[in-house]
Amino acid sequence: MYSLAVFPQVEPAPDTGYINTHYTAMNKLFAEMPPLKKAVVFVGNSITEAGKWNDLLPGHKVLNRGISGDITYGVMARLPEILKNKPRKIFLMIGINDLKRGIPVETIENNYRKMVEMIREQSPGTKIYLQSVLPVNYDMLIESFRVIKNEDVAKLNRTLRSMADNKKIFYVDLHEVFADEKGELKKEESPDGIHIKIQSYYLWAEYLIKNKYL
Amino acid sequence: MVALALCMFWKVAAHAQSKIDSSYSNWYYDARYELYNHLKHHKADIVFLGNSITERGNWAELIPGKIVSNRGIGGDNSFGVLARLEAVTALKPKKLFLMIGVNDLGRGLPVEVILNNYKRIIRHIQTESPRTKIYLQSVLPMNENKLNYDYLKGKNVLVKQLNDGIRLIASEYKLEFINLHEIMADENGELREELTSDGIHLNTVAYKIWVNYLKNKKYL
Repeated sequence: MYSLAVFPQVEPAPDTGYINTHYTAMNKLFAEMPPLKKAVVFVGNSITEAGKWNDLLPGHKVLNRGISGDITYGVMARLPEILKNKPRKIFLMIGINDLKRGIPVETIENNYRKMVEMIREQSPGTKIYLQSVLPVNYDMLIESFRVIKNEDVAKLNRTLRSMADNKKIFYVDLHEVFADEKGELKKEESPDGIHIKIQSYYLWAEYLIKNKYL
Repeated sequence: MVALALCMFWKVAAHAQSKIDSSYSNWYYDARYELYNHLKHHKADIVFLGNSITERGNWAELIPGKIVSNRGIGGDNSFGVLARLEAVTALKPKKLFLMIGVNDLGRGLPVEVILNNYKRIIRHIQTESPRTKIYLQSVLPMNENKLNYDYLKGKNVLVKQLNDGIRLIASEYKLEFINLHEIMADENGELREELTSDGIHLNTVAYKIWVNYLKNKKYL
C-alpha cells in the first residue's frame, strides 16, 4: 500500500472486470475437458473463441482457449491452468477489450511482459507466438468500441514486436492479412469492424502455416 | 452457383408440393458453408455432421490423436446438410457420424420428408466417398420441462417416429445405427435433465458420455 501511494503509476490495481458468467462458464468447461499435453493453444478473447481452430488446422492438436470479452488480466488469471499441461506452442492475442475498458497501453504492455514471464517460468519449453492485436475499422464499429484508437493498437504491437527473440518468442504480424492500407481492419474480412468473419479465418490459418509458425 | 441452383430447385419443388419448407440458408449457415468450402482440401479421419448439437461438441479435444472435423452448423436441417455434402465428402473421412432432424421437426416437416432426405444424404456420401463408413445416430429426445422453445414442445413423439425410420434406413443400407437414447434418455424417453440446461442442447458431461459410448461400442 505504501509503495502504491508513493508510485501510483508503477502498479495499478488489477482490473478484475473480466469475471462474468461467460468467463466462469468457459473456465468450468475447460476444466472439464481431458488434459492434453504438448498442445497448440490459442489464447485470447472472442476473436480467438470464434475460430474453429481444430477444423482450420487439422492434425495440429489444437486447443481453443479464447473467452469472449477477456482482457490481459483475465488471461493472466487462467494461464497457470493452461501451462499445467506444458503446451508446445501458445498463440496469444489479447488486449483490444483492455483498450475498450480504458486500460492504458503501458499497463497492457506490462501485462504482456508478465504473461511471457509466467510462460517461461512455468513451462519453459513452450514457444510463444505474440500475434498482432488486430486494428479496428472505424466506419463499421458499434458505439461502445469507438473509444479504441488504432494508434494505441499500433503502439502495443510495436512493443510486442520488440519482445520477440525469434527463438522462443515470435511476433506474428496478422496485419499482413487483416489490415488495409490505412492500417484499419479490412472491411471485407469483418462483420462489425472488430471481429473477423467466420469464413475468413482460413486466411489466418494459411498465414501461420505459410510462415512456418505451425 | 450449385447451391443456388439447388436452392432454387427446392423452392420450386417446395412450391409444387406446398407447405414443405425446404429452406436452410441464413447468415449463420452461409458463413460456415463458405468456411467449409475453403477447407475442402483437408483430409479427415472422422467427421461429425449435424446441427448445433454437433457443432457445440468439442470432438477434437475429446478424441485426441485423430483428425476430427466438426461439420455441425447451428440451426441446420436435413436440406441444409444435403446442400453442403460436397465439402464433407471431399474430406474423404474414414468415419462419418450423422445426427440431423430435430430442426426439421421443429419447423413441422413431415417425418417421411426427413427420412427421404436421409436416403439422399446416404446415397450422396456413398457415391462421392464410397470408403466412408456412415453411422446414423438417433436424434436426441428433448426434456419438456426444461425446453425454452415453444416450437419444439410436444415433439418427442415425432422424434421417436423419426428414429424408428432412421433405424429402418440403417438396416436397409447396412449401416450402423447408434441408439444414443441408451445413454441420453431417461425412463420416460426424455433427455436426461442433468445433461442439458435448455432441454435440447448438451453440457460437457453429456459429450463425454457420448464419446465414451462410441468408444465402448468400438465405433471410435
